[in-house]
Amino acid sequence: MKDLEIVVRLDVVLALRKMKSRDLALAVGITEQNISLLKSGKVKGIRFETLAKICAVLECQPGDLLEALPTET
Amino acid sequence: MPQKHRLENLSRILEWATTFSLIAIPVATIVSLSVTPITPEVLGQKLGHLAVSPAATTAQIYAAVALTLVPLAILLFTLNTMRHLFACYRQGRVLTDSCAALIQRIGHGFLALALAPFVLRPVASVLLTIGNAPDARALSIAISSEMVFFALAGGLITVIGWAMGEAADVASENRAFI
Repeated sequence: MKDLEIVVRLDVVLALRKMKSRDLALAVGITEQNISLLKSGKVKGIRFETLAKICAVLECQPGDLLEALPTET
Repeated sequence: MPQKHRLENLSRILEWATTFSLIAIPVATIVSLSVTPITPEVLGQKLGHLAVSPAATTAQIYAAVALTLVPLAILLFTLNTMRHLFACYRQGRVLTDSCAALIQRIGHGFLALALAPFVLRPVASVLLTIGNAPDARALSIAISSEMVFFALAGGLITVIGWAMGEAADVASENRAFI
C-alpha cells in the first residue's frame, strides 16, 4: 500500500473564485490565521462543519479542496 | 463559561489559602519548637506515650525531632504543588500536560504522607528507647485511619492525574483541528 498525504488546495480554489482569505474567514466565521494554517496544510484536521461552510461559501465540493498525493520521501 | 469563571475564582481563593498555609505552618512549627521544651517526657507524649529513655542523648532526641519534621516537609512540598496548580487554573490553563503532572505530584505527596509516619515512627521509637533496659525498649509500629485516608486519597489523585494527562492529549489534538 502506498503512503498518501492530504494536500489542501484551498489557495487554488480561492484564486479561481478571486476571493481573499480575509473574506473567506469572515464568511465562514473562523480566524484569518486558521485559514492561513489550512492553506499551508499545517493543521492536523478539519471539522466537517468547517469544511461544509467553506464548500458553501466557495460553491465547491470537498474533493476540490483536498487531494491525496503519494508522500514525498 | 460560568463554570470556567467559578473555577478561576475558586482557584484564586485556594491559591491564597495555600500560600498562607505555606507561611503559617512553618512559622507555627518554629514557634512551637522554640516554646515547648524538647525533653524525653514531652517527646514520649507526642509519640504516643512511649517510655522514652531518660538517658537518651541530645543527639538522639534531636534526631527523633528531625524525623517528626519529615512529614511536615512533605506536606509543605505538596501544598506548594497545589499552589502551582491553582495558579495554572486561575490563569485559565486547565487541560494541559503541566496541570496533569502537578496533579500526579500532589497524589505522590499524599502517598508519601501516608507512608512517612509508618516508616519514621518505628525509627523514632527505637532511637528514643534504645537507652532503656532491654525489656523496656520499644519498636512502635502503627497504622492510623489518617494514613489509610492519605493512601487512598493519594491513589485517587494520582489516577485522576493520569486521566487528566489523557484529557490534555485529547484537548491538544482538538486544538489542532480547525
